[in-house]
Amino acid sequence: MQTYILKRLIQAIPVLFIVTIIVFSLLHFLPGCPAANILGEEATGEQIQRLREAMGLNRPIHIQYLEWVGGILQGDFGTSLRDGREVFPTLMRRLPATVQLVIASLFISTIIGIPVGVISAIRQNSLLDSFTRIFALLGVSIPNFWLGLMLILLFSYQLGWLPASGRGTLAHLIMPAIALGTASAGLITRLTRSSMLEIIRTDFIRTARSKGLMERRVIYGHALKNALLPVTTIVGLQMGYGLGGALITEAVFAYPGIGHFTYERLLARDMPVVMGNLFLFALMFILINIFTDIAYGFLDPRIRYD
Amino acid sequence: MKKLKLRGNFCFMAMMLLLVTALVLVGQDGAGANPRSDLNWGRGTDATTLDPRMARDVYSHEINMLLYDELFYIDHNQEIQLLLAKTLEYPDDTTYLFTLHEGVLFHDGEELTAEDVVYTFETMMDPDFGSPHYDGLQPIESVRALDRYTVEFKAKEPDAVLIYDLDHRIVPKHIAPDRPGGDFAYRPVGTGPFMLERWEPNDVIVLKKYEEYFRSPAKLETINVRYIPEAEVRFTELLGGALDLSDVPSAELDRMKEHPDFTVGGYTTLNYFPIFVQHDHEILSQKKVRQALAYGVDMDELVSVVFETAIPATSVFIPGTWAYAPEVQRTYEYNPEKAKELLAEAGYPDGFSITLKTSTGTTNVEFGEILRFYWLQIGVDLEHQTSEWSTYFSALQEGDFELAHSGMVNAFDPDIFLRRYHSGNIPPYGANRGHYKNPDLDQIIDEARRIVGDQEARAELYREAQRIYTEELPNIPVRYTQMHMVWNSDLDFEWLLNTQFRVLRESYWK
Repeated sequence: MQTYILKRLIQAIPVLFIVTIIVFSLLHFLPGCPAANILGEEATGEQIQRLREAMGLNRPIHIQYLEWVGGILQGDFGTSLRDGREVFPTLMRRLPATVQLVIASLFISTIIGIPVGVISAIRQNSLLDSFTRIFALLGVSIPNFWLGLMLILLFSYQLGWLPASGRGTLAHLIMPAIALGTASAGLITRLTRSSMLEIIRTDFIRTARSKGLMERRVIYGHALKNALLPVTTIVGLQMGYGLGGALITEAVFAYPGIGHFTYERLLARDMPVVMGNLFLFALMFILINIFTDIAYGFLDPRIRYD
Repeated sequence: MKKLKLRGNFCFMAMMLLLVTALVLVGQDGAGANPRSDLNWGRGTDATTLDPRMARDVYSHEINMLLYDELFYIDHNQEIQLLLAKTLEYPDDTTYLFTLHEGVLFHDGEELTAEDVVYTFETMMDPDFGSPHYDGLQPIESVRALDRYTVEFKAKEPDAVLIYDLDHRIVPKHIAPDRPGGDFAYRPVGTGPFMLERWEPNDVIVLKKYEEYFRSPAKLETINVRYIPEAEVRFTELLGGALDLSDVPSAELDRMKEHPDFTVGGYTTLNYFPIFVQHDHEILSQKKVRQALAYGVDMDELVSVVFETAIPATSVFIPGTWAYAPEVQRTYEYNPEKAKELLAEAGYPDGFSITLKTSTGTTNVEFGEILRFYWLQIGVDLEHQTSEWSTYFSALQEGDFELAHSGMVNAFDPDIFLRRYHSGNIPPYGANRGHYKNPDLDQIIDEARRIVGDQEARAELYREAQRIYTEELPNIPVRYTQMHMVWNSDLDFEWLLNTQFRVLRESYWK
């Protein structure tokens, strides 16, 4: 097991290296310039060149890249081109908010998605199943910014129960987590349902039934455990996508996470911040994937890591 | 084991406490019996930097005007109000002499002196510092501290506009760096009525009252400037009482004016949004074509539909300012027939194709669509290209456009906008990005700028400039903008041109 994890971590190194090249070149070939953004509408070309020089943006591109990567290796992500803050601490201050939001949303989507998916599969083609399928489809299809605004309209504006923006209390987390989690909930419901239906028809379930096991044992002890494998993959992936998807939810609820912040900085061409964030996300994506792979082993003892 | 259980209990208690706090916060209902001393102000964009020497954007400016003071500022009547300066004298037409108030303390307790003023301007005039205000300060020959409380600015030549470029916030020499970088941009120290307590980027800026302020200290103790990107959410928070002061979507303005609990303030800005024209373009370089484009669109209608709070523009001069002279301006009433005639005379009876660049955003998209509809009627096939601001802006910067639509801001003096049509300001040395050349206009701009202290003589020259501008149409006028703010009626506040949030020093809860 430890060897496996170690191997996966070593494999991650070239991936991260390629990520740095892609991130760096994509952002540097983007039109627009941080200096021009700072200087504003009436700036002259000469003035922009001067500020670019002062910011060190006129140095050869490979030097800038090597400096950035060299910095990362030493744990230095550089400083913001806008306010001069150090990138790494700035990102780390905001990361917990986003992680909290993503975990809360996944919590909501799994506690809804898995039971509903199971019930829907057991009662296949019943009225209940049709309802569930429609709701799952809606969940996947409703854009989360729209859902967010509707939630605000209902719970903040009409009822005044929940704060519409900000972070700090549990109440602040409820609506953003629902808005972000609904799509995953729909996806997990659908996946659990189809995966359950497939398993229920297999031989070992028939055997389990024929040897007289209680239906509950059959469903939850045997079928569900096997059906959860693909669901685990999706939950892992959703966690990664959640980090990205949180961008819009964070904007709607003015939730001080890392996603919308980085998006804003991208518009301002604050490259060190954006690059630092993308690097961190890539790292987290890789770690989540390794974690997901390990989780398989617990669900399916046939999967071994040596 | 026991210890573990205890910890479990503790966790449970902590969770309950959190829940109760959450519920209490949810249930809270704004004002209590005592008048409040805090203010929750919502904005859709965060500040960029709190080093005023590096700040150019409105959102940094709004915060900096509470953290710092200038020698003087321009008030809502466009008049000079002394602030850090006790007196302003003009010994001759190139010299500005400021005497400072004594005993003005920075937030760290050090006294502000003439040296700080000199330092502030010198760093901005240093090309290696990279200040956005560098160009505006070029007309300055020297800035010197004559004694502890006297500063002298010398201009290279008589310059009627330079005074507006001396309106800068003063930073402490002993803290503010003379090179870009460092932490001053987010740990600012000024002399203003408020101090920075905390700035979480894209979240909140917390300002605390500065007790030692040299004029009467603020009445509010705390200002929470909250960043809420969605206008609809700011609006909801305002109605719900979580915000006391915010802009609102323009569609909601009328409703808010009726609302008993809120006050709406608004003014016409000193901003001008035209369609920028590229004069290096063969077709667009012809006056008749530009006039045809102006005749070919019902601008009043277009502006009222797309930009609800804006006012249709007639020229680069702002209505209500001293140089504005509508009687000399040529106007272009919607007249598609006339537009077609002019196009035929210019040699394009069948029209032509042209592109308009703007940044993204619903209003810009609508603007492009409606403009295209109008111009199709006169045979002009408009292609509208939108891109996010940075990309759009770099195209504008490089002159890479045929037509473009965005704005110019803060015309404290007519010259500030007009100089952008001077042939001497063609990039890279200026912001004449449309490469417009007109010797007559150049001469007027140069001459008017050299007249110091005789506004009428300048106004006379600008009458001619307005005639030329509206006849030649270097750009096609679209709109002047308005700015609105909505606040809780229990708050004593006023929303005025230029002065803006400066008023917060005197604001209080009734």
